[in-house]
Amino acid sequence: MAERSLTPRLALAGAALALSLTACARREPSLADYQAPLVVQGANPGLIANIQSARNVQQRSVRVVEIFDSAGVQTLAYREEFLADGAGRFSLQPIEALTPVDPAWSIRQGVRQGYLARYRDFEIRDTALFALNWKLTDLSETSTVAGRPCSRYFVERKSGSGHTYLIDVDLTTGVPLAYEDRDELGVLAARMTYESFDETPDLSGAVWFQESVTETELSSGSSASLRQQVGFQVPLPRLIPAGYYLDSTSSLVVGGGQSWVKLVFSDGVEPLFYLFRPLFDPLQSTAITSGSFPTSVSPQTANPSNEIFLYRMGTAGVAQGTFSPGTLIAVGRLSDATLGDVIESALP
Amino acid sequence: MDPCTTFRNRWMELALDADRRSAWEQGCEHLTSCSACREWVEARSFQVRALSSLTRRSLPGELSQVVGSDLSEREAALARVLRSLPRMEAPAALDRAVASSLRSTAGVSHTGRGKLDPARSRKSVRALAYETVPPVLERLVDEELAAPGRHLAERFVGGLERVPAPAALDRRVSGLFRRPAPRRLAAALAVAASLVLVWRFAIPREPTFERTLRRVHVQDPGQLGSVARGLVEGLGGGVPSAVNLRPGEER
Repeated sequence: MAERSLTPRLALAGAALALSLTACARREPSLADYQAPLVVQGANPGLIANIQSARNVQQRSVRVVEIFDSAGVQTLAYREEFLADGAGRFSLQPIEALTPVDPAWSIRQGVRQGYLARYRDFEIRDTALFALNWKLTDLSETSTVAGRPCSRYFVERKSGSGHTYLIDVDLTTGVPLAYEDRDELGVLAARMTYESFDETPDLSGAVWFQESVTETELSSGSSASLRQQVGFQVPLPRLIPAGYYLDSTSSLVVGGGQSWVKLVFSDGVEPLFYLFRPLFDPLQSTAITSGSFPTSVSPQTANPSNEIFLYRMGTAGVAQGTFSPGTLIAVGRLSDATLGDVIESALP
Repeated sequence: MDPCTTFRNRWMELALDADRRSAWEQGCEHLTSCSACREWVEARSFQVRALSSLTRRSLPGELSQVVGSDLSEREAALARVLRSLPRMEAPAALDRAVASSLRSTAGVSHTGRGKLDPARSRKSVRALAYETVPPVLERLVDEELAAPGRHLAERFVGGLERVPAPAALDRRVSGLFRRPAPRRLAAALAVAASLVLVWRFAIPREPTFERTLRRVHVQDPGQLGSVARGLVEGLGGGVPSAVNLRPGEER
């Protein structure tokens, strides 16, 4: 009797094991996994609408920027001039450094003006995601910045984690004329203050910022469609920090003809960049085949390693590594561990 | 405690358990002899019946979510406030009092202006007898702090009276498991399982890369490529002041 019932039991156990193993197999992520929820509750459109991006408001202004280390010690301070025509064109040039810098600082700061103007300062980049992840509190206080009356707001994540911002918003234009950025421990991480603000400037002689990279927007369809668009498989991260959703997908061609795929995630305020460049560039090599990663390394490209390099600049961090699929980069105002996890989770 | 109070306390303990209360009342001599307590029981019985007849209302579904979210926010805000509080120096008078106390037991001396010699203080404190916490207690507390809800539920469930399963249910379950599975179904499942295993593990798939990754903090952004450098410097507020950028190749 016992022998007769043993075989079916073993078969059942084997079937259960096989199905469990199959269920546990890692599923490749898809771009659709990163889409934001459609319905957002708790939005406060009235308050949020009071705050505008500086790039969308015509101005000629002088600002002071201060960057602090994790102990709250000032590491970099400078004065800069910002021009915007209110229709998307802008210029951001350093005037003087207020802390010791190397001789080429001013040139390099000018080269970075695109990134600085778009991503350095507090800005509501997506109102729906802002309402989902952040809490905006009107402190019912007034202040004066650059001679202009401002309302003071406190901005913090609903989860209580991450950075907080104290912002002074111009009553007339909605531009944040000053902000303090504090880390989770309440230590001052960055501060920006307008010294002057001219909202009817003469911009006739302005030299506007010109993009130095060629960027093409990609459709955020399936992973297969992404591969079709760029010609190689893009390893997508399985771990994205809570509250971040896909904002845009694009391909970049930077100096030297390097092709990158860039995914920009956002939680409404903070951006998270994820970039990938294959070891074999399909524009320069035929070695890459559809559907598989390259298995050898071109002598013209960097050698794969087993290291993720981490570096911090002010409030931001970067994780970068070159592996068999290619080079992966994650940049954001997140901890080193989180950025490293984003990279590691993308590897096969 | 007087007999009336004792009786009434016990009655209140059994107020919601009508069967046990009734059985207890029948054998209770005090209830027979004390008219005041009989009147009290009559009044309380009426209240219990009235309360029991009320319709039980369920909590709104979103209440627990709102309360949880609110508590989480309050906790985070409280943590931020606590972390931002400045550390206060102990008053010099307290230092002197402690020094005086220690001097009498360990011979500690002042270093001047009412301050203690830190090294000697540490030595004296170490010399004090103390009891260590058992390791198991520390582990249990850690486990409970890691999942307070689960442990609360376990304690609550563990305290409930175990109710035996009805005999009919027991017989049905036993019969179900004793019945041998049909041989044809078992064979089909075995074949299906084999096919799944072959598909999953025997058919060649895209190569995977075994790796042990090391995370390296670099001080020199020159070790990064220009794309990573540009993004982190833009997001972080500008190029650093005193670093030696290498014109190295893209990684």
